[in-house]
Amino acid sequence: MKKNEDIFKKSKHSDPEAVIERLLKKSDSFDTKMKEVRRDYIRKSANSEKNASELVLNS
Amino acid sequence: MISQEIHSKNNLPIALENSFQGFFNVKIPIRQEIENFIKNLKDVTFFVIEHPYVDKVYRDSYYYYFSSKLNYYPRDCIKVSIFAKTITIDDFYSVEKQQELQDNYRGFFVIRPTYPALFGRSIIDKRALKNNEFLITESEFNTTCNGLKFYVKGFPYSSQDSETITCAETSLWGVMEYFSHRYAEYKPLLPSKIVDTLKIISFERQLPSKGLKYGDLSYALKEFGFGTRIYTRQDFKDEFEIILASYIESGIPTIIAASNNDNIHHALVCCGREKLTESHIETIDERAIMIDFNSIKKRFVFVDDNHFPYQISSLDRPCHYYPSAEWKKSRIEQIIVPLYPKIYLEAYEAREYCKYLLFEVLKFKQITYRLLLTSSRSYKDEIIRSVDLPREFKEAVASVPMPKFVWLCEISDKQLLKNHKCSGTIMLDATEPNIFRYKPLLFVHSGNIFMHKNGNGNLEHKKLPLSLDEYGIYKNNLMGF
Repeated sequence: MKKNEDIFKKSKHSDPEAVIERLLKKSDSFDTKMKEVRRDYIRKSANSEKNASELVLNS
Repeated sequence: MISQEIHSKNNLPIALENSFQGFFNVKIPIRQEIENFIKNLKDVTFFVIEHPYVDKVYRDSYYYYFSSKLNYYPRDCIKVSIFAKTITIDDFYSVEKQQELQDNYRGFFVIRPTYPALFGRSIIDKRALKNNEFLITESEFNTTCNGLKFYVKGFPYSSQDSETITCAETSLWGVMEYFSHRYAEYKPLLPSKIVDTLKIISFERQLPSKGLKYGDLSYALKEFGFGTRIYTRQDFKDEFEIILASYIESGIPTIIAASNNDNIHHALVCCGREKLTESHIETIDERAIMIDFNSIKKRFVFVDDNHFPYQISSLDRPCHYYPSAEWKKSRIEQIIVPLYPKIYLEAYEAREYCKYLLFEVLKFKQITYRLLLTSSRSYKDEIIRSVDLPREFKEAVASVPMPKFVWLCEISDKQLLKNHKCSGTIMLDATEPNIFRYKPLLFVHSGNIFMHKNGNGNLEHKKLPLSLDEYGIYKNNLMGF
Protein backbone atom coordinates (compact mmCIF):
# COMPACT_ATOMS: atom_id res chain seq x y z
CA MET A 1 0.00 0.00 0.00
CA LYS A 2 1.17 3.46 -0.80
CA LYS A 3 2.60 5.10 2.28
CA ASN A 4 0.76 8.28 2.93
CA GLU A 5 2.79 11.35 3.56
CA ASP A 6 2.39 13.94 6.20
CA ILE A 7 0.02 16.70 5.13
CA PHE A 8 2.50 19.36 6.11
CA LYS A 9 5.34 17.66 4.28
CA LYS A 10 3.20 17.63 1.17
CA SER A 11 2.48 21.32 1.49
CA LYS A 12 4.78 23.98 0.17
CA HIS A 13 5.67 25.09 3.67
CA SER A 14 6.56 22.10 5.79
CA ASP A 15 6.34 24.12 8.98
CA PRO A 16 2.88 24.06 10.60
CA GLU A 17 3.64 27.55 11.95
CA ALA A 18 3.60 28.68 8.34
CA VAL A 19 0.16 27.15 7.84
CA ILE A 20 -1.11 28.89 10.96
CA GLU A 21 0.41 32.14 9.77
CA ARG A 22 -1.32 31.75 6.43
CA LEU A 23 -4.62 31.33 8.26
CA LEU A 24 -4.02 34.31 10.55
CA LYS A 25 -2.51 36.91 8.27
CA LYS A 26 -4.69 39.11 6.17
CA SER A 27 -5.14 37.40 2.85
CA ASP A 28 -7.18 39.03 0.16
CA SER A 29 -7.65 35.81 -1.77
CA PHE A 30 -9.04 33.90 1.25
CA ASP A 31 -11.38 36.75 2.16
CA THR A 32 -12.45 37.29 -1.43
CA LYS A 33 -13.13 33.58 -1.98
CA MET A 34 -15.14 33.22 1.22
CA LYS A 35 -17.13 36.39 0.46
CA GLU A 36 -17.95 34.89 -2.92
CA VAL A 37 -18.95 31.56 -1.32
CA ARG A 38 -21.16 33.35 1.19
CA ARG A 39 -22.80 35.50 -1.50
CA ASP A 40 -23.41 32.44 -3.72
CA TYR A 41 -24.83 30.47 -0.84
CA ILE A 42 -27.23 33.21 0.21
CA ARG A 43 -28.45 33.69 -3.38
CA LYS A 44 -28.89 29.95 -4.04
CA SER A 45 -30.49 29.46 -0.67
CA ALA A 46 -33.00 32.28 -1.11
CA ASN A 47 -33.88 31.08 -4.62
CA SER A 48 -34.31 27.51 -3.37
CA GLU A 49 -36.81 28.63 -0.77
CA LYS A 50 -38.71 30.65 -3.38
CA ASN A 51 -38.65 27.93 -6.05
CA ALA A 52 -39.58 25.11 -3.69
CA SER A 53 -42.64 26.51 -2.06
CA GLU A 54 -45.26 26.03 -4.82
CA LEU A 55 -44.77 22.41 -5.84
CA VAL A 56 -47.54 20.10 -4.51
CA LEU A 57 -46.29 16.59 -3.73
CA ASN A 58 -49.06 14.02 -3.95
CA SER A 59 -48.11 11.18 -6.33
CA MET B 1 -59.86 -12.56 21.99
CA ILE B 2 -56.64 -11.92 20.14
CA SER B 3 -56.10 -14.34 17.27
CA GLN B 4 -52.59 -15.55 16.34
CA GLU B 5 -51.45 -17.66 13.41
CA ILE B 6 -47.96 -18.58 12.25
CA HIS B 7 -47.22 -18.98 8.53
CA SER B 8 -44.27 -19.47 6.22
CA LYS B 9 -43.55 -17.01 3.41
CA ASN B 10 -45.24 -19.28 0.87
CA ASN B 11 -48.44 -19.53 2.88
CA LEU B 12 -48.67 -15.93 4.02
CA PRO B 13 -50.53 -14.40 1.04
CA ILE B 14 -53.45 -16.85 1.30
CA ALA B 15 -53.49 -16.86 5.10
CA LEU B 16 -53.38 -13.07 5.32
CA GLU B 17 -56.09 -12.73 2.69
CA ASN B 18 -58.28 -15.07 4.75
CA SER B 19 -57.57 -13.08 7.92
CA PHE B 20 -58.24 -9.79 6.10
CA GLN B 21 -61.55 -10.99 4.66
CA GLY B 22 -62.64 -12.64 7.89
CA PHE B 23 -61.58 -9.96 10.35
CA PHE B 24 -62.71 -6.96 8.31
CA ASN B 25 -65.74 -8.82 6.94
CA VAL B 26 -65.02 -7.93 3.29
CA LYS B 27 -64.64 -9.98 0.13
CA ILE B 28 -61.65 -8.09 -1.29
CA PRO B 29 -58.77 -10.23 -2.62
CA ILE B 30 -55.40 -8.96 -1.35
CA ARG B 31 -53.22 -11.98 -2.17
CA GLN B 32 -51.39 -10.27 -5.03
CA GLU B 33 -50.60 -7.17 -2.95
CA ILE B 34 -49.17 -9.35 -0.16
CA GLU B 35 -47.08 -11.39 -2.61
CA ASN B 36 -45.63 -8.20 -4.10
CA PHE B 37 -44.93 -6.75 -0.69
CA ILE B 38 -43.05 -9.73 0.73
CA LYS B 39 -41.19 -10.80 -2.43
CA ASN B 40 -38.02 -8.95 -1.31
CA LEU B 41 -37.92 -10.83 2.01
CA LYS B 42 -35.71 -13.90 2.42
CA ASP B 43 -37.38 -17.16 1.47
CA VAL B 44 -36.91 -18.61 4.96
CA THR B 45 -39.10 -16.13 6.79
CA PHE B 46 -41.97 -16.82 9.14
CA PHE B 47 -44.83 -14.56 10.07
CA VAL B 48 -47.17 -14.20 13.03
CA ILE B 49 -50.56 -12.75 12.07
CA GLU B 50 -52.35 -11.08 15.00
CA HIS B 51 -55.66 -9.27 15.23
CA PRO B 52 -57.23 -7.11 16.47
CA TYR B 53 -54.26 -4.73 16.64
CA VAL B 54 -54.42 -1.07 17.61
CA ASP B 55 -52.11 0.87 15.30
CA LYS B 56 -51.60 4.37 16.68
CA VAL B 57 -51.26 6.03 13.27
CA TYR B 58 -54.35 4.43 11.70
CA ARG B 59 -56.34 4.89 14.92
CA ASP B 60 -55.56 8.62 14.75
CA SER B 61 -56.70 8.78 11.10
CA TYR B 62 -59.77 6.76 12.03
CA TYR B 63 -60.97 9.14 14.75
CA TYR B 64 -59.96 12.26 12.88
CA TYR B 65 -61.43 11.29 9.53
CA PHE B 66 -62.63 7.76 8.66
CA SER B 67 -65.14 7.51 11.54
CA SER B 68 -67.01 10.53 10.19
CA LYS B 69 -67.93 8.69 6.97
CA LEU B 70 -71.20 6.87 6.33
CA ASN B 71 -69.39 3.77 5.08
CA TYR B 72 -68.18 1.45 7.79
CA TYR B 73 -64.45 1.48 8.54
CA PRO B 74 -63.13 -0.80 11.29
CA ARG B 75 -60.95 0.94 13.85
CA ASP B 76 -58.57 -2.01 14.33
CA CYS B 77 -55.80 -3.41 12.16
CA ILE B 78 -53.94 -6.66 11.58
CA LYS B 79 -50.30 -6.90 12.68
CA VAL B 80 -47.83 -9.20 10.95
CA SER B 81 -44.58 -9.89 12.83
CA ILE B 82 -41.55 -11.18 10.96
CA PHE B 83 -39.12 -13.87 12.14
CA ALA B 84 -36.01 -15.22 10.44
CA LYS B 85 -36.59 -18.86 11.41
CA THR B 86 -39.29 -21.41 12.05
CA ILE B 87 -41.18 -20.61 15.22
CA THR B 88 -44.12 -22.06 17.12
CA ILE B 89 -46.57 -20.51 19.55
CA ASP B 90 -44.99 -22.67 22.27
CA ASP B 91 -41.68 -20.77 21.79
CA PHE B 92 -43.29 -17.60 23.17
CA TYR B 93 -44.15 -19.36 26.44
CA SER B 94 -40.78 -21.09 26.82
CA VAL B 95 -38.39 -18.86 28.79
CA GLU B 96 -35.40 -20.64 27.18
CA LYS B 97 -36.66 -19.80 23.69
CA GLN B 98 -37.48 -16.13 24.27
CA GLN B 99 -33.98 -14.77 23.61
CA GLU B 100 -33.80 -16.86 20.44
CA LEU B 101 -37.09 -15.33 19.33
CA GLN B 102 -35.64 -11.85 19.86
CA ASP B 103 -32.48 -12.80 17.96
CA ASN B 104 -34.62 -13.83 15.01
CA TYR B 105 -37.14 -10.98 15.23
CA ARG B 106 -37.09 -8.86 12.05
CA GLY B 107 -39.86 -6.35 12.65
CA PHE B 108 -43.49 -6.00 11.66
CA PHE B 109 -45.96 -4.53 9.22
CA VAL B 110 -49.55 -3.48 9.75
CA ILE B 111 -52.52 -4.18 7.48
CA ARG B 112 -55.14 -1.39 7.56
CA PRO B 113 -58.76 -1.77 6.48
CA THR B 114 -58.18 0.95 3.85
CA TYR B 115 -57.99 -1.08 0.64
CA PRO B 116 -56.17 -0.61 -1.75
CA ALA B 117 -53.74 1.25 0.58
CA LEU B 118 -53.15 -1.72 2.85
CA PHE B 119 -49.80 -1.28 4.52
CA GLY B 120 -49.73 0.88 7.65
CA ARG B 121 -46.98 1.63 10.15
CA SER B 122 -44.13 -0.81 9.59
CA ILE B 123 -40.59 -1.26 10.84
CA ILE B 124 -38.60 -3.87 8.96
CA ASP B 125 -35.07 -4.89 9.88
CA LYS B 126 -32.93 -4.80 6.73
CA ARG B 127 -31.56 -8.24 7.64
CA ALA B 128 -34.97 -9.64 6.62
CA LEU B 129 -34.30 -8.70 2.98
CA LYS B 130 -32.69 -10.92 0.35
CA ASN B 131 -30.45 -8.05 -0.71
CA ASN B 132 -29.29 -6.20 2.38
CA GLU B 133 -25.89 -4.96 1.21
CA PHE B 134 -26.75 -1.39 2.10
CA LEU B 135 -26.37 1.00 5.01
CA ILE B 136 -29.19 3.03 6.50
CA THR B 137 -29.69 5.36 9.38
CA GLU B 138 -32.05 3.59 11.76
CA SER B 139 -33.81 3.91 15.10
CA GLU B 140 -34.73 1.27 17.63
CA PHE B 141 -38.42 0.55 18.17
CA ASN B 142 -40.08 -1.41 20.96
CA THR B 143 -43.03 -3.53 20.01
CA THR B 144 -44.77 -6.77 20.97
CA CYS B 145 -45.77 -10.07 19.41
CA ASN B 146 -48.07 -12.49 21.19
CA GLY B 147 -47.69 -10.39 24.36
CA LEU B 148 -43.90 -10.64 24.39
CA LYS B 149 -41.82 -7.46 24.06
CA PHE B 150 -39.37 -7.21 21.16
CA TYR B 151 -37.16 -4.50 19.75
CA VAL B 152 -36.28 -3.88 16.13
CA LYS B 153 -34.00 -1.47 14.29
CA GLY B 154 -35.07 0.02 11.01
CA PHE B 155 -36.42 3.06 9.22
CA PRO B 156 -40.18 3.68 9.57
CA TYR B 157 -42.40 2.90 6.60
CA SER B 158 -46.08 3.32 5.77
CA SER B 159 -47.98 3.37 2.50
CA GLN B 160 -50.22 6.35 1.84
CA ASP B 161 -53.96 5.91 2.41
CA SER B 162 -54.41 8.80 -0.08
CA GLU B 163 -57.13 10.39 2.09
CA THR B 164 -55.47 11.40 5.37
CA ILE B 165 -51.90 10.78 4.29
CA THR B 166 -50.35 11.11 0.83
CA CYS B 167 -46.67 10.68 -0.02
CA ALA B 168 -45.89 14.08 1.52
CA GLU B 169 -47.45 13.28 4.89
CA THR B 170 -45.97 9.76 5.03
CA SER B 171 -42.48 11.16 4.34
CA LEU B 172 -42.97 13.71 7.10
CA TRP B 173 -44.31 11.04 9.44
CA GLY B 174 -41.40 8.66 8.65
CA VAL B 175 -38.77 11.32 9.37
CA MET B 176 -40.42 12.32 12.65
CA GLU B 177 -40.94 8.68 13.68
CA TYR B 178 -37.24 8.10 13.08
CA PHE B 179 -36.02 11.16 14.98
CA SER B 180 -38.46 10.77 17.88
CA HIS B 181 -37.26 7.23 18.54
CA ARG B 182 -33.63 8.28 18.37
CA TYR B 183 -33.44 11.67 20.09
CA ALA B 184 -35.33 12.91 23.14
CA GLU B 185 -35.75 16.39 21.57
CA TYR B 186 -38.40 15.24 19.08
CA LYS B 187 -41.92 13.84 19.40
CA PRO B 188 -43.58 11.21 17.20
CA LEU B 189 -46.08 12.55 14.72
CA LEU B 190 -49.67 11.54 13.97
CA PRO B 191 -51.66 12.53 10.87
CA SER B 192 -53.97 14.84 12.85
CA LYS B 193 -50.94 16.75 14.16
CA ILE B 194 -49.84 17.48 10.59
CA VAL B 195 -53.28 18.90 9.82
CA ASP B 196 -53.25 20.98 13.02
CA THR B 197 -49.76 22.31 12.38
CA LEU B 198 -50.45 23.36 8.81
CA LYS B 199 -53.95 24.79 9.25
CA ILE B 200 -52.52 28.24 10.01
CA ILE B 201 -50.96 28.42 6.53
CA SER B 202 -53.73 26.56 4.63
CA PHE B 203 -56.32 28.43 2.58
CA GLU B 204 -58.48 25.39 1.86
CA ARG B 205 -59.74 22.34 3.74
CA GLN B 206 -56.94 19.90 4.47
CA LEU B 207 -58.89 16.61 4.42
CA PRO B 208 -59.19 14.63 2.23
CA SER B 209 -55.54 15.45 1.63
CA LYS B 210 -54.52 16.54 -1.83
CA GLY B 211 -50.83 16.52 -0.89
CA LEU B 212 -48.56 19.15 0.58
CA LYS B 213 -46.45 21.84 -0.96
CA TYR B 214 -42.75 21.54 -0.43
CA GLY B 215 -42.85 24.71 1.63
CA ASP B 216 -45.54 23.10 3.85
CA LEU B 217 -43.23 20.17 4.59
CA SER B 218 -40.40 22.51 5.44
CA TYR B 219 -42.66 24.66 7.61
CA ALA B 220 -43.97 21.60 9.48
CA LEU B 221 -40.46 20.29 10.16
CA LYS B 222 -39.48 23.73 11.43
CA GLU B 223 -42.50 23.69 13.76
CA PHE B 224 -41.45 20.22 14.98
CA GLY B 225 -38.08 21.56 16.10
CA PHE B 226 -35.72 21.36 13.11
CA GLY B 227 -33.55 23.99 11.48
CA THR B 228 -34.83 22.95 8.07
CA ARG B 229 -32.83 23.60 4.89
CA ILE B 230 -34.18 23.42 1.34
CA TYR B 231 -31.96 22.77 -1.70
CA THR B 232 -33.15 22.76 -5.30
CA ARG B 233 -31.36 21.25 -8.30
CA GLN B 234 -32.25 24.37 -10.27
CA ASP B 235 -30.24 26.58 -7.89
CA PHE B 236 -27.45 24.33 -6.62
CA LYS B 237 -26.86 22.65 -10.01
CA ASP B 238 -23.70 20.46 -9.98
CA GLU B 239 -23.39 20.64 -6.21
CA PHE B 240 -26.98 19.47 -5.65
CA GLU B 241 -26.39 15.69 -5.62
CA ILE B 242 -23.09 16.10 -3.75
CA ILE B 243 -24.86 18.06 -1.00
CA LEU B 244 -27.56 15.37 -0.79
CA ALA B 245 -24.89 12.63 -0.63
CA SER B 246 -23.06 14.45 2.15
CA TYR B 247 -26.22 14.64 4.26
CA ILE B 248 -26.88 10.92 3.68
CA GLU B 249 -23.24 10.20 4.64
CA SER B 250 -24.04 12.19 7.78
CA GLY B 251 -26.91 9.82 8.61
CA ILE B 252 -29.58 12.49 8.16
CA PRO B 253 -32.74 11.14 6.48
CA THR B 254 -33.67 13.64 3.81
CA ILE B 255 -37.04 14.28 2.17
CA ILE B 256 -36.77 14.14 -1.60
CA ALA B 257 -39.08 15.70 -4.18
CA ALA B 258 -38.97 13.66 -7.38
CA SER B 259 -40.73 14.96 -10.45
CA ASN B 260 -41.03 14.24 -14.17
CA ASN B 261 -41.95 17.93 -14.65
CA ASP B 262 -45.37 16.85 -15.88
CA ASN B 263 -47.86 14.81 -13.86
CA ILE B 264 -45.63 13.22 -11.19
CA HIS B 265 -44.57 15.11 -8.09
CA HIS B 266 -43.59 12.62 -5.45
CA ALA B 267 -42.14 12.81 -1.93
CA LEU B 268 -39.94 10.03 -0.60
CA VAL B 269 -37.19 9.69 1.98
CA CYS B 270 -33.55 8.93 1.26
CA CYS B 271 -32.05 7.23 4.33
CA GLY B 272 -28.86 5.46 3.28
CA ARG B 273 -26.65 4.12 0.53
CA GLU B 274 -25.28 0.85 -0.78
CA LYS B 275 -22.11 -0.55 0.79
CA LEU B 276 -19.06 0.50 -1.16
CA THR B 277 -16.78 -1.99 -2.85
CA GLU B 278 -13.39 -1.66 -4.51
CA SER B 279 -15.13 -1.10 -7.83
CA HIS B 280 -16.71 2.10 -6.48
CA ILE B 281 -13.34 3.34 -5.25
CA GLU B 282 -11.75 2.40 -8.60
CA THR B 283 -13.87 5.08 -10.27
CA ILE B 284 -11.78 7.75 -8.51
CA ASP B 285 -9.54 9.46 -11.03
CA GLU B 286 -6.13 9.59 -9.34
CA ARG B 287 -5.02 12.37 -11.67
CA ALA B 288 -7.72 14.70 -10.43
CA ILE B 289 -6.49 17.47 -8.15
CA MET B 290 -9.18 16.87 -5.58
CA ILE B 291 -12.07 14.39 -5.42
CA ASP B 292 -15.07 14.76 -3.17
CA PHE B 293 -16.00 11.30 -1.86
CA ASN B 294 -19.64 12.39 -2.00
CA SER B 295 -19.38 12.76 -5.78
CA ILE B 296 -18.47 9.06 -6.27
CA LYS B 297 -21.27 7.32 -8.21
CA LYS B 298 -23.19 4.98 -5.95
CA ARG B 299 -26.75 3.93 -5.32
CA PHE B 300 -28.88 5.21 -2.44
CA VAL B 301 -31.64 3.74 -0.28
CA PHE B 302 -35.15 5.19 -0.52
CA VAL B 303 -38.23 4.68 1.60
CA ASP B 304 -41.05 5.20 -0.89
CA ASP B 305 -44.66 4.83 0.25
CA ASN B 306 -45.66 3.29 -3.12
CA HIS B 307 -43.18 0.41 -2.75
CA PHE B 308 -41.66 -1.98 -0.26
CA PRO B 309 -39.19 -0.13 2.05
CA TYR B 310 -35.50 0.19 1.19
CA GLN B 311 -35.61 0.59 -2.58
CA ILE B 312 -32.14 1.03 -4.03
CA SER B 313 -31.60 3.52 -6.81
CA SER B 314 -29.24 6.15 -8.15
CA LEU B 315 -29.68 9.86 -7.53
CA ASP B 316 -30.08 10.66 -11.23
CA ARG B 317 -32.96 8.16 -11.68
CA PRO B 318 -34.43 7.67 -8.19
CA CYS B 319 -37.71 6.05 -9.36
CA HIS B 320 -36.23 3.51 -11.76
CA TYR B 321 -37.88 0.67 -9.78
CA TYR B 322 -41.33 1.81 -10.96
CA PRO B 323 -42.68 -0.18 -13.92
CA SER B 324 -44.02 2.94 -15.65
CA ALA B 325 -41.81 4.89 -18.05
CA GLU B 326 -43.34 8.13 -16.77
CA TRP B 327 -42.11 7.37 -13.26
CA LYS B 328 -38.71 6.17 -14.43
CA LYS B 329 -38.16 9.61 -15.97
CA SER B 330 -38.52 11.36 -12.60
CA ARG B 331 -35.56 13.29 -11.26
CA ILE B 332 -34.82 14.66 -7.83
CA GLU B 333 -35.65 18.35 -8.08
CA GLN B 334 -35.57 19.40 -4.45
CA ILE B 335 -34.56 18.14 -1.03
CA ILE B 336 -35.50 19.12 2.50
CA VAL B 337 -32.90 18.44 5.16
CA PRO B 338 -34.11 18.27 8.77
CA LEU B 339 -31.09 19.71 10.55
CA TYR B 340 -30.62 20.15 14.27
CA PRO B 341 -31.53 23.83 14.80
CA LYS B 342 -28.07 24.85 16.05
CA ILE B 343 -26.32 23.58 12.91
CA TYR B 344 -25.73 27.00 11.37
CA LEU B 345 -22.93 25.94 9.02
CA GLU B 346 -24.54 23.84 6.28
CA ALA B 347 -23.12 21.52 3.63
CA TYR B 348 -22.51 23.97 0.76
CA GLU B 349 -20.44 26.42 2.80
CA ALA B 350 -18.68 23.71 4.83
CA ARG B 351 -17.62 22.03 1.57
CA GLU B 352 -16.38 25.23 -0.05
CA TYR B 353 -14.46 26.13 3.10
CA CYS B 354 -12.80 22.69 3.29
CA LYS B 355 -11.91 22.79 -0.39
CA TYR B 356 -10.22 26.16 -0.01
CA LEU B 357 -8.41 25.08 3.14
CA LEU B 358 -7.14 21.85 1.56
CA PHE B 359 -6.17 23.34 -1.76
CA GLU B 360 -5.06 26.90 -1.05
CA VAL B 361 -3.92 26.89 2.58
CA LEU B 362 -2.64 23.35 3.11
CA LYS B 363 -1.56 23.14 -0.57
CA PHE B 364 -2.88 19.63 -1.09
CA LYS B 365 -3.03 17.94 -4.46
CA GLN B 366 -4.45 14.63 -5.64
CA ILE B 367 -6.46 13.72 -2.59
CA THR B 368 -9.96 12.48 -1.86
CA TYR B 369 -11.85 14.14 0.94
CA ARG B 370 -14.96 12.85 2.68
CA LEU B 371 -17.17 15.44 4.32
CA LEU B 372 -19.90 14.56 6.76
CA LEU B 373 -21.76 15.92 9.72
CA THR B 374 -21.65 14.02 13.00
CA SER B 375 -22.18 14.51 16.68
CA SER B 376 -18.99 15.39 18.55
CA ARG B 377 -19.96 12.94 21.30
CA SER B 378 -20.11 10.02 18.86
CA TYR B 379 -16.88 11.11 17.17
CA LYS B 380 -14.90 11.44 20.40
CA ASP B 381 -16.36 8.17 21.64
CA GLU B 382 -15.31 6.29 18.48
CA ILE B 383 -11.80 7.79 18.61
CA ILE B 384 -11.28 7.06 22.30
CA ARG B 385 -12.64 3.50 22.02
CA SER B 386 -10.43 2.70 19.02
CA VAL B 387 -7.94 -0.09 19.68
CA ASP B 388 -5.62 1.13 16.91
CA LEU B 389 -5.11 4.80 17.76
CA PRO B 390 -2.31 6.00 20.06
CA ARG B 391 -3.24 7.53 23.37
CA GLU B 392 -1.67 10.92 22.50
CA PHE B 393 -4.00 11.33 19.52
CA LYS B 394 -7.00 10.32 21.63
CA GLU B 395 -6.03 12.87 24.28
CA ALA B 396 -5.52 15.57 21.68
CA VAL B 397 -9.01 14.99 20.19
CA ALA B 398 -10.68 14.64 23.59
CA SER B 399 -9.23 17.96 24.79
CA VAL B 400 -10.66 20.06 21.90
CA PRO B 401 -13.85 21.86 22.96
CA MET B 402 -16.57 21.01 20.43
CA PRO B 403 -20.24 21.88 19.89
CA LYS B 404 -22.93 19.17 19.71
CA PHE B 405 -22.45 18.75 15.93
CA VAL B 406 -19.29 19.05 13.86
CA TRP B 407 -18.30 18.75 10.21
CA LEU B 408 -15.72 16.03 9.78
CA CYS B 409 -13.51 16.14 6.68
CA GLU B 410 -11.35 13.05 6.25
CA ILE B 411 -8.32 13.34 3.97
CA SER B 412 -7.63 10.21 2.00
CA ASP B 413 -6.76 8.73 -1.37
CA LYS B 414 -7.78 5.78 -3.51
CA GLN B 415 -5.53 3.22 -1.85
CA LEU B 416 -6.38 4.32 1.66
CA LEU B 417 -10.11 4.33 0.95
CA LYS B 418 -9.94 0.76 -0.34
CA ASN B 419 -8.71 -0.16 3.13
CA HIS B 420 -11.26 2.07 4.86
CA LYS B 421 -8.47 4.40 6.02
CA CYS B 422 -7.73 8.10 5.98
CA SER B 423 -4.50 10.02 6.52
CA GLY B 424 -5.74 13.20 8.14
CA THR B 425 -8.70 15.07 9.52
CA ILE B 426 -10.12 18.57 9.41
CA MET B 427 -12.87 19.28 11.87
CA LEU B 428 -15.22 22.26 11.63
CA ASP B 429 -17.58 23.81 14.15
CA ALA B 430 -21.13 23.32 12.78
CA THR B 431 -22.38 26.24 14.91
CA GLU B 432 -20.07 28.71 13.13
CA PRO B 433 -21.40 30.03 9.80
CA ASN B 434 -18.70 32.72 9.74
CA ILE B 435 -16.37 31.05 7.27
CA PHE B 436 -13.72 33.74 7.18
CA ARG B 437 -10.21 32.53 8.01
CA TYR B 438 -10.05 29.97 10.80
CA LYS B 439 -13.35 30.86 12.50
CA PRO B 440 -15.07 27.48 11.98
CA LEU B 441 -11.87 25.45 12.32
CA LEU B 442 -11.66 23.14 15.37
CA PHE B 443 -8.62 21.08 14.48
CA VAL B 444 -6.45 19.80 11.65
CA HIS B 445 -4.51 16.58 12.05
CA SER B 446 -1.98 14.82 9.89
CA GLY B 447 1.17 12.86 10.61
CA ASN B 448 2.46 13.99 13.96
CA ILE B 449 1.00 17.48 13.74
CA PHE B 450 -2.17 18.36 15.61
CA MET B 451 -3.25 21.96 15.02
CA HIS B 452 -6.22 23.10 17.04
CA LYS B 453 -8.04 26.03 18.50
CA ASN B 454 -7.25 26.67 22.16
CA GLY B 455 -9.62 27.85 24.88
CA ASN B 456 -9.15 31.49 23.81
CA GLY B 457 -10.12 30.71 20.23
CA ASN B 458 -6.55 31.06 18.95
CA LEU B 459 -4.79 28.49 16.79
CA GLU B 460 -1.90 26.51 18.19
CA HIS B 461 -0.24 23.22 17.33
CA LYS B 462 1.47 20.36 19.06
CA LYS B 463 3.60 17.48 17.87
CA LEU B 464 2.46 13.97 18.65
CA PRO B 465 5.30 11.63 19.72
CA LEU B 466 4.70 9.34 16.74
CA SER B 467 3.51 10.12 13.25
CA LEU B 468 0.00 8.79 12.67
CA ASP B 469 -0.05 8.31 8.91
CA GLU B 470 -3.22 6.31 8.50
CA TYR B 471 -6.19 5.36 10.61
CA GLY B 472 -9.72 4.04 10.23
CA ILE B 473 -12.38 6.24 8.68
CA TYR B 474 -15.38 7.24 10.75
CA LYS B 475 -18.23 4.73 10.41
CA ASN B 476 -20.62 5.64 13.18
CA ASN B 477 -23.25 7.52 11.11
CA LEU B 478 -24.29 4.67 8.83
CA MET B 479 -22.58 1.95 10.89
CA GLY B 480 -20.38 0.82 8.03
CA PHE B 481 -18.74 1.81 4.75
